[in-house]
Amino acid sequence: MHHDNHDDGQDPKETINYKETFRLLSGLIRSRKGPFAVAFVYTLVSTLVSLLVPIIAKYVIDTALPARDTAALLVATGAYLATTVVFLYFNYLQVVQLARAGQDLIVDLKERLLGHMLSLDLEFYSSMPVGRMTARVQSDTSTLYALFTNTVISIVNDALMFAIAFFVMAYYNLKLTLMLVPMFPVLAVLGWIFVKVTSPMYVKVRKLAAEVPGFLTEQLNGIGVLQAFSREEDTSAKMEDLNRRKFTAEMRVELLNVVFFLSIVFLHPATTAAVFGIGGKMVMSGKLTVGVIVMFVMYLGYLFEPIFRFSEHLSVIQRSFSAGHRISKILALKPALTEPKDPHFLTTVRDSIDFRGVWMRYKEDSAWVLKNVSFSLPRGQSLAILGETGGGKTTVTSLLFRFYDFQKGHIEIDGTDIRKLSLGSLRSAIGLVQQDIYLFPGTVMDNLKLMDASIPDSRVHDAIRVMGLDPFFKKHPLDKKVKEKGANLSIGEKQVISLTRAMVLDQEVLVLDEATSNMDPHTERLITSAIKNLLKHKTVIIIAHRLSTIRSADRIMMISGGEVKELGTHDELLAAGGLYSKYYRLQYGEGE
Amino acid sequence: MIFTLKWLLPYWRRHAARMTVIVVFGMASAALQAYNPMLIKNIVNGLSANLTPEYLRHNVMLILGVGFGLFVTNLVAQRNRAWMNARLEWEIRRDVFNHVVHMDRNFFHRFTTGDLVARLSDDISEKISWFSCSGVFRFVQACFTLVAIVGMMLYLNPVFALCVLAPLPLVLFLSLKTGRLLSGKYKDLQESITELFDFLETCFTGIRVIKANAKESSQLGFFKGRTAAQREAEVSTARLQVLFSYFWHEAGFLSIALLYAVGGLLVIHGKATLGELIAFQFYANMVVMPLMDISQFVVAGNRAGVSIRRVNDLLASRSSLKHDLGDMTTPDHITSLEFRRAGLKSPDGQAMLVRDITFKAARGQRVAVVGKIGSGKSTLLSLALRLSEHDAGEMLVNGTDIRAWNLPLFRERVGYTAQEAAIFTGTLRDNILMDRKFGVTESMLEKALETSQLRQELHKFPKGLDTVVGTRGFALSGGQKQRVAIARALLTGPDVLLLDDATSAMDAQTEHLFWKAFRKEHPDALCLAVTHRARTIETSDLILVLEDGRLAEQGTHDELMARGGQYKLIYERQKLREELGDKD
Repeated sequence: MHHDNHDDGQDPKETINYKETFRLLSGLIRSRKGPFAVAFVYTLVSTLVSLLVPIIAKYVIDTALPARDTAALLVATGAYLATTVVFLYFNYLQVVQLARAGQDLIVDLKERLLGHMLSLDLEFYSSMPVGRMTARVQSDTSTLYALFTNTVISIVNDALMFAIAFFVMAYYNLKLTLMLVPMFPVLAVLGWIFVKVTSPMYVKVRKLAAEVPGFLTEQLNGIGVLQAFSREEDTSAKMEDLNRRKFTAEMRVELLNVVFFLSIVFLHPATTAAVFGIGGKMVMSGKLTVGVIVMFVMYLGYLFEPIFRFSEHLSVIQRSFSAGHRISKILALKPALTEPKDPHFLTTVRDSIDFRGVWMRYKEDSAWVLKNVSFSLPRGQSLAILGETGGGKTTVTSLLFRFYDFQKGHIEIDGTDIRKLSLGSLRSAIGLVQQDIYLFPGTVMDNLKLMDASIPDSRVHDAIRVMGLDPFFKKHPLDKKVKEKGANLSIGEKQVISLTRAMVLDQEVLVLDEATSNMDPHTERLITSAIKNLLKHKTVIIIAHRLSTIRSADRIMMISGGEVKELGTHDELLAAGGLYSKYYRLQYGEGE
Repeated sequence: MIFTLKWLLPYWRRHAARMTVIVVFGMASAALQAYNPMLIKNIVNGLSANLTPEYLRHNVMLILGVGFGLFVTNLVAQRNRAWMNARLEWEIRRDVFNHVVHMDRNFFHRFTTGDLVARLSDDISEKISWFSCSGVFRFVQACFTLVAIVGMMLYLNPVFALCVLAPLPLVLFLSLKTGRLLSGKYKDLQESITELFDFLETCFTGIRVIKANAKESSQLGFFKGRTAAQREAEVSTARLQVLFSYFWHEAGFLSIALLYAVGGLLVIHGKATLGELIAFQFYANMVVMPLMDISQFVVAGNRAGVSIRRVNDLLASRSSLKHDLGDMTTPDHITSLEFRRAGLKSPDGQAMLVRDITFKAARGQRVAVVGKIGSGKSTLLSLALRLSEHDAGEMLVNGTDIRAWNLPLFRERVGYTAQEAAIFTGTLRDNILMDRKFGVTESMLEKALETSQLRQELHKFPKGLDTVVGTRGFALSGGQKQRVAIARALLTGPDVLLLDDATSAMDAQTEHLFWKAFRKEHPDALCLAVTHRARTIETSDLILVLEDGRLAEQGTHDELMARGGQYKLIYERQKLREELGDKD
């Protein structure tokens, strides 16, 4: 399941920048001071009230019962019920308040993070796998949510409880209290040591656990080869070895775990025995009442609970710092391509797009991806780009959007250098259509608008009419919910939606990246006619695969090895008998 | 649930002694736990009456002793349960894996790698392992504890016991109700989270379109709407969660209030002791815990049951390979391979993947297999290797039924490369040797490296043959992977070589050199090669043209070209494609 994404993409040796991360985390808390303060008040009330219960028990035992006072007994019972109800109520308020405040904070952070990521260049997106990016936005933030809602408040709460409980206990019997106090810091230190010792062991267990699916994938993918070489027994032996290593690692850490926790559990009866033993003698000499002893035993129950939680808190804090570190690393990135100074604003393309002698490479020391590319595309015309994979087709279109900057030559729109144009206006004026797409979770309508709520519905209806796709959208109504990134639609249907989207977004110039998926003849017809419609209405650069698309384009450009090899109309190129004519024959032939 | 427990029973039987320990110590722990408040009763009653130091010491020691007894019994029970969880995970995975590696190709069509990995790792580790011992035997211990506590309470004071137990049905009823509501909320929450993940994935994979259309801000706007939905779901889940937790952790307060009122009155009237009252306060807090384990048993059991069925599906699958036709394996080399109207059904048995395949190949020959994607080329090779067992027609090796050959001995004489060159994590040497230690000499390895054209690549690897490759090692190019696969197949000098598109990522020159070296080193080997390269096809001794699982044409290049059929088309298009340098 992709939700349990443990791919934290971090070099284990990388040191966490605690200062920077702490700044991020404390900044987040400060942004919600008020709500957190309210939550703190609720915590205070519920903790105080809950600590009254042993005192009520003491009252019942020492006062009401010995006096045979029925009224006092019933009052005490009533008080007990009341405090418990008040405790439960305030505890509830606290949990809800924290969930709200924590969520608000996390939602802000998520939006800030995504907003920042969206502002980054395409290079960022190619440097990080998609799964890792989604993990940053969703999983890391939810680790922080656990920190803010659970850990921080419960540490505060526990500290408060310790202080007050010891204060009350000391008030009733200082000597007995002082004998119990030193045990708790020792326990805290032991807990800390326990986390220190076990956390690398847990890392090892997790690593081995992750090795299992890795090993299985590798072996099962190569199962044909393994069988062909009669390696079944060897593979089984390797599986056995991995199983054993995982088992051993798990058992080691499990042993420490069970001994540590049960020891703490055992400390509870031990301290209870101590209270009875020492306190009992005091009772005999009349220095202490039975009620106080029972009260002490009850308080001990309260005090042991935080110790169990302590080691968990430590690990949440550890993980939160890793998560915070990863988030602040992304927030520190800056985009290289930004708006130019005094930009020209482009509303639409009036005359033409021109490439003149464009040279481009991705890095200073790498090879040229485009060499001296020139072409001109007048408004209303269409240009089909053909060529082998990696030959430079996509780079040409990327430059038009200024996803990258080129090194030599000129790219102009209506005679203006695109580097002088406002980035936002350039990209708004030119549309990109990619056909191999996932769809967003939302309605078909949302997807057609590319989630832009400012586009009126009427524009969508108009676009559908112009494209002649009314029957298609009868079958897939606009309010249909898209499920699982479009799993309830076929590849062809998704392509139709993506083409219609181009018309909805209503830009004069379109760059179309045609897909080559196999699909049923009906959908194929639907798509070819949709593309023809776009070619008719718009200025289009199309990275083409279908013969029908190429034939409908005004001009064809063959690119190979980053160079323009041929440029002209279909008839011109066919007559020239060069690369294109061969390509045409290949496409035209039947078969594979 | 019955199915689940029955399925686990044989595993428990294998560890009968340990399982007995778990049950016995669980029972002891339950008894000690139920006995504990009784000691508190004794002490408190002693304190209120005339206490002697001996009595006090005796009872304090008893508390310590019972506490220590609980420590020991719980340690033994928990440790052994954890041991069993991990051990059963190991054993179940071993059983299933050993079964899976012997399955035929149909099985691997039916279950994709991803599916198998999920069943062998996630289902077993996450769903079955904990339940297989802890889930079941914590439940058993919880039942003992419940019985022991209720028994002790009834023995000590039935009226008090009634006070403690009276609110429980209400608590149970309400907790079941909120539990159901809560699981609905969890579902909503999970859905809202899934939607966010889907959104982000779509957004990040489609980033070019978003940026090209300058729609970053509308994406963010839409995201805000979705995060708001998740926020709502989170908050309302937290709300219900806290209420739900009250029923388990705080519900004792109703019992305690009843105890104070009713019990206190009884104490005042001398019908019960203070010690009893306080002991029952402890019982009231203890009685809910086993109920939690019991409800968990149902939830985790249902989940584990689903996973066990998924795992059992794999174990219930049978390979179609036949082993009962007698052993007619001969020590001779394989000199001929013949298909007579051979065919193979699809995994669902509804259609034929390949059918009516008839051809004969002899030693020293190279047979090229050509055809479109999905026309049955790989299936043909897998029949020849018996990765699948043909279920129509006949297949003969040296004139003997292929099924009468001892499978490992037969495969030892056959070399094979898969369409996706499989590389395993390990050194380059490991990948070629594949653990075949006996009868493999260093000079054989050298020869295989030479023939497969891997020799001249070795300097590109940081540690030569000892470079670690695979998922977590040095990344091999497609052409390098294929050369490793070929070297692996050639290592032991096989009589038959089956190459499934093994040279597609090599350049024409390297492939040419490979075939030249291959013929020189292995002049007698019979080679069946799926290939696209025109030069390899045209120089083959026999060409099989597959179309929709049938043999459309067969013959030599000249014969087939003269025929002007399917082959001519495929061949000419391939020639053209190579000229254009188009690899798609």
